[in-house]
Amino acid sequence: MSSRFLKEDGVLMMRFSKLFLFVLIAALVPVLFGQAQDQNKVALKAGRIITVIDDEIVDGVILIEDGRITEVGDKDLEIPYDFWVIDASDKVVFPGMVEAHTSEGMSGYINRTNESLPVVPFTSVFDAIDPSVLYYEDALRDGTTTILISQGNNTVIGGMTRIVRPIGRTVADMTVKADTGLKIAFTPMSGQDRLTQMALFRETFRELAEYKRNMAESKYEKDLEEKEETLKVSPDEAAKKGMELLDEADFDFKHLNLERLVTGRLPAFVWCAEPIDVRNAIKIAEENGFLDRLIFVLGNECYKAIDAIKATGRPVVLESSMVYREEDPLTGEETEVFVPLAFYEVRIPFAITSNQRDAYGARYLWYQAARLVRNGIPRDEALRAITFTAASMIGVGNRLGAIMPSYDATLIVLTGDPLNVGTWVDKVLIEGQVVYEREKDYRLKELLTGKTETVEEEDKDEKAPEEKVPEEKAPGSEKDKAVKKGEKE
Amino acid sequence: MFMRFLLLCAALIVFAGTGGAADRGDSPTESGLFAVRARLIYTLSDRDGIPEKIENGVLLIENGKIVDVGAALPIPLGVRIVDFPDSVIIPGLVDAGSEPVASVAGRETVSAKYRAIDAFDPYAPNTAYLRGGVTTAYLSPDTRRLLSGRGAVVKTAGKGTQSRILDEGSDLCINTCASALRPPGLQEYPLPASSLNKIEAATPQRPTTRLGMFLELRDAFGRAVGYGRKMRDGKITAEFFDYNLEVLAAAVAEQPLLRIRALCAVDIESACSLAKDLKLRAYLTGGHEAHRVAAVLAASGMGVVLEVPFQTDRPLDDRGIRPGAVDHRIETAALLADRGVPVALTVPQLVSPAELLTGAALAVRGGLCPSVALRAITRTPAEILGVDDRVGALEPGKDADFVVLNAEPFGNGAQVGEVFVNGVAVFANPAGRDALVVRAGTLLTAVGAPIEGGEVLIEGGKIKAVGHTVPHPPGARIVDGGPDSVVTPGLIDSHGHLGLEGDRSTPGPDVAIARAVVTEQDNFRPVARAGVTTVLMAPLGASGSGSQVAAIKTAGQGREALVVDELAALKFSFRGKDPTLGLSVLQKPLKKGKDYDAKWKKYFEDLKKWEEEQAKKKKEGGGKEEAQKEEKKETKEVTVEEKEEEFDPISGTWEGKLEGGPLPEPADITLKLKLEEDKTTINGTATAPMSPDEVGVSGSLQGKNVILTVDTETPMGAPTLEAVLDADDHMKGTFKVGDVFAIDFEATRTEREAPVIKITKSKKKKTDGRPEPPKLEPSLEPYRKLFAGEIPLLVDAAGHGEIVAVIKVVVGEYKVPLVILNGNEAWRVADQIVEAKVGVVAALPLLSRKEKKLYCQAADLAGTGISVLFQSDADDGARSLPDMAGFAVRNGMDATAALRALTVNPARLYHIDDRVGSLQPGRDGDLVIFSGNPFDATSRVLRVFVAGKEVEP
Repeated sequence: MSSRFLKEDGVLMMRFSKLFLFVLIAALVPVLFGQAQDQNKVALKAGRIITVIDDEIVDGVILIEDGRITEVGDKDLEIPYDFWVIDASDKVVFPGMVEAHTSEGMSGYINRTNESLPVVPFTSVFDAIDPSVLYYEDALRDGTTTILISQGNNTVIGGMTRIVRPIGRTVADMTVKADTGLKIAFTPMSGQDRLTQMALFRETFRELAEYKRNMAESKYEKDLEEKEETLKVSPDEAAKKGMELLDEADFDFKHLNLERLVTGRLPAFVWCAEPIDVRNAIKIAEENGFLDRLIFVLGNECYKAIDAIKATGRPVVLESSMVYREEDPLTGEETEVFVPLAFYEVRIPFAITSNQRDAYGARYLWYQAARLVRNGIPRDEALRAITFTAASMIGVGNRLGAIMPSYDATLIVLTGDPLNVGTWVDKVLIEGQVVYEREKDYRLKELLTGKTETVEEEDKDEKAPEEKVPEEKAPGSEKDKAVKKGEKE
Repeated sequence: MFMRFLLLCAALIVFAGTGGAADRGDSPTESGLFAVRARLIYTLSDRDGIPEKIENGVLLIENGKIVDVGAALPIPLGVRIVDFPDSVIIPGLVDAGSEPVASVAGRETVSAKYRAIDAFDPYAPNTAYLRGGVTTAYLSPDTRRLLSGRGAVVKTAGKGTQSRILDEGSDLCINTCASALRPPGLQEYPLPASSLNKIEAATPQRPTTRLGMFLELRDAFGRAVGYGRKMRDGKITAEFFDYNLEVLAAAVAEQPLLRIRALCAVDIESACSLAKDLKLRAYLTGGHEAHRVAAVLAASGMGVVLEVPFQTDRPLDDRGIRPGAVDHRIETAALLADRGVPVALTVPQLVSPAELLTGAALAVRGGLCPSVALRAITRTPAEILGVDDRVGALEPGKDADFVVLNAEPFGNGAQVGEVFVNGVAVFANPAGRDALVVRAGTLLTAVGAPIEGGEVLIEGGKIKAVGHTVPHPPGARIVDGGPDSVVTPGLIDSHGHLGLEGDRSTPGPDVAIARAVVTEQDNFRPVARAGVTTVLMAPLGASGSGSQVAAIKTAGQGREALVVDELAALKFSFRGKDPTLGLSVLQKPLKKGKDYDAKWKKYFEDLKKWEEEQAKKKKEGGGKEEAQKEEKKETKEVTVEEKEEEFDPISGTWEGKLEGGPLPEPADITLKLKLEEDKTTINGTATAPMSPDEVGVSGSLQGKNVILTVDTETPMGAPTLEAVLDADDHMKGTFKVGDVFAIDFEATRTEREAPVIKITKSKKKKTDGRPEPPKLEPSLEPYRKLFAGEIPLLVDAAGHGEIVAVIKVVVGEYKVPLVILNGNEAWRVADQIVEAKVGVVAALPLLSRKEKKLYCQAADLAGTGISVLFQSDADDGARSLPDMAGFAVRNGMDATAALRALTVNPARLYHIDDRVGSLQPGRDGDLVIFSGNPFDATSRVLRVFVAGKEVEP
């Protein structure tokens, strides 16, 4: 609990004292008010629930226990007496949005998004994620709760990806799922062309096979030695027999993740900027047995290879600009394609991404979804492209990206429809805990009102602890505050 | 809930890793049988029964493959025919020496692991290749490293990826050039690097000298063979594993085709011996100095992909006196071909592959036989690259890859029009699709001397250039009539009735006869096909005050294209009138017309004067402001009066709509009306659709009927508005302009308040003294054109007395242009006709009797210097006009005069010579191709073009 604070502030001692305070209050509340309120039991009353994979519910209730949704129903659903009620009956509840592939959230020179060595499957974004970067704060504010962090595109076989939530003080705290895939790029890394890129792939996988063969052979020999038998077969046969004896522990760090990739135990996030890269990717993935776990991360022009992509049956993550423009070299005629529509029309599952470097709407996933609707994709499909489809693609579709029983209670409370430009994220719940409230978003307030720092200082002193205590959202929180203030004084 | 279930199932299926193997199934090319016809097909086949070159050939294509080729092949019924009657078809070009696909050189100077096929982009438009007709290209891994990898042979267009790959890399690329020398060292980074696992200095790579080049190659092949042997023996252990060597060993074991790039004579010779020693098949590329070692090459049996030295849009590099500069010349190809070396041609690396045809043409300049040159960019490179089982020639079983050229491959201005790959059109030259070049043995322009062997360029329906040679825009269609053909301008019927559809009435001068023509009528086609492209369309007779004559085309889409001149002449008949007493027949309408014209002339003079005065006043200033002040004052006064008024059925603002009549679309009208105290008089203003100004309106209310007169002058009188108040605040009626137009009117009152009535501008203008235009008289309008000298008077007169009288009145008295129709006895008064510069439309029949002898009027009059014209005086009978002219020629008419009588004479006399009648830049693209002299009885009309479009037979 305490590790999922939104902000880092105050000295360590202060934090301890506040923690103590909170424990005290928590202990006192039931005593004072005679109510048995369990912090792990929350009822969210919503004006509208957009479940994403089922019909919308008007005036609905979501019951949450131990961070998981236990029941979703309309107003007739009875709220047990021991549940804390969060009243959002004038608001809209939507699943936390999912960013299916991004290279944000890492910063600084040392942890820049790419390794200069071309083949580095042994690296991981774990080492580069910086929990303190503003990206996570923004993500929370914009309602993005599940983020797949991947290294940049400038690589051949890159490092491991990781799914995080935008809260937590350490990478371990933030992690939703570790080692969710390997980043691979078929578009040549800078200073390289497709011939070298492809030669590197072939060389890497050939070297892996050779490494395995040698290891298997020696393991078989060792095995025989232990059994005190003599080697009677040819080296090739020995290698074949030894293959069955190999396990993950035998592999060195350089080869382990590659082995997991080619044996179908690791998904691959495959970056292709141009359609020709799609063709190369399919070829290499097919030859090396990871086509079944492949997720395409595509540049806009790749819609041209849509037939080949469709044939693989694999999902795609699309670039944030979403529009491809091309000029005829002879006539100068310009054509424009809205890329997601092309994928929607052939029913290839797609997720869309945001671009944090965009000064306009493309920063926001909901805006990107609205663009889909604007360009002719049904609303349901557009909403899923930023929630359920994206979550399923990255391997957490069984617990994130939708509102239904057994799913994580990772939800956002919106002031209106998610695609409405006037809608704000009012609250964010991650696994049942309120981790963001707009009215207590001091940085946003400062930005909007232009108030000076001193105000913040004062506010911080008083309200920072409240921010960290999700229980306050339960009824009677006003009274709690009064009690707390009294205690403090 | 069910929906959720479905979604979850779908998600499971999609994401759980059951994605099937990628099916890169190549979709089939155009299926079904079809035929392609062309003027000339170069098959480049050496099979029995298939000529290398077929005139009027046919290609039969099915499923992207050629089924049959030949002259006059029987085409099965119902089979689609793609026709290129003016074009030449050659096999799709094969460029065996294209630029490397790699932008960055790999690290190892000798390595077979780089494969050009990895950079083959099936989604690239490849315009640079297709523009030049190249359908098959070699992709090179690199031309900088000594052994740079494996190449590929692919098609530059077409559907599917796999079917476009002809060879995925069964060769090894060797480059013995200066760029292969002194490669950077190989740097290896141990992982993880530590004090025990040090980063070592880079391993140097060979070759550093020309000597080392072949040494390194032999060494590398040796190492590869050795490694391969070890591999087979299972002796490669972990520490000896070398991926680079392994790939090279595999390549060498495959007996690859060596592609050796060698430029100077020494390297070429070394390359020959290397291939011989390695016992591998090989061919050379580059080969700049191959002519110096032609004998060695011939003995080795190697083919050469020769770069023809040229630059297209900039000068060649200076060769200067640099030592070791390569001797590079266009004669090399011819010298090698003479020695029997298989030569394929390609362009230098910095020149676009679109110029392959140019390169081959330059080799022809250097002495290469044109047929060999054509082979050198099609069949020979296909053979050298080992893909001649599919491309390089047009013969049964091969891919239907071909290029449609607008002329012979190395001919004047030959350009690629269309490109087909696997029987599918993949490229059409977008520039000049509209352009047409007509080439003929003789051009009769009708305005100058005949041009022998001339060309006409037509673009956008207009003639752009005429001469011995004209510009050929890329992709222009070239129509060659052949050396005997004669091209004339489209012919003109000077008096016909085509388009009237048998109407025998004699309309008055106010009837625009051109309106009868809306679309091409059924009987136009035969007339146009006969070469008559313009007809002066006149009614059979003429009304007493004249009838309009229009000039129309005999082919075209819509009125806009068909009507050349709505009013080209005014026709009268003076036939059988008394030359002295009957003169009034002409004089009366002419006088009326002249008076009318004078009125307008005076009006325009006055207007001009007035405008000048106004301009002067404006310059002086002051006066205008005063006028404005006055206006404001009056407005105020009126407003004050209005305030006392109560609501009544009329006063207020009316928003209305005018619909129908001559209006192309409904127009809005706003009326601001005020009912005066007497409850009948109405005053107000209107914003009329015809003028942007507000105009005054006055009228009366009689019961429910409202009658308003708009206070403005139109040529047809003041417009009136008659409406009925059919409901409160609503009126409906008609808006009339003179007796000519009646427009439906409907209006609703939007404001009941008494309006502010401004002083109308028109009133102000009147007080300013702006002159009033005279009343418009439709029946006299044609006369204004007549007296302006823009159209002639076409007067039917037969006897010499009549002719003289007509000339006296029309030319002498009224000084307007005149054309005599028929003029059967013109020979009697030829002097006077010549003097008056009057044209004569030859009477029919052409052969009559003069003093009991046979007499050809057209020939005779033309001989005296009179401008003679030919008429059909018929509907689609006009199609025999060229024959009639030929008949006149056989009866003594000068052929030049006969052509002029059908072209430039009528064009000039009817003042339509800015559009038709001659072959000159700026005129309409109307022309006729005759098989010989147009007036020879044996000559046929081969083709007819109107506004650049062919009139289909």
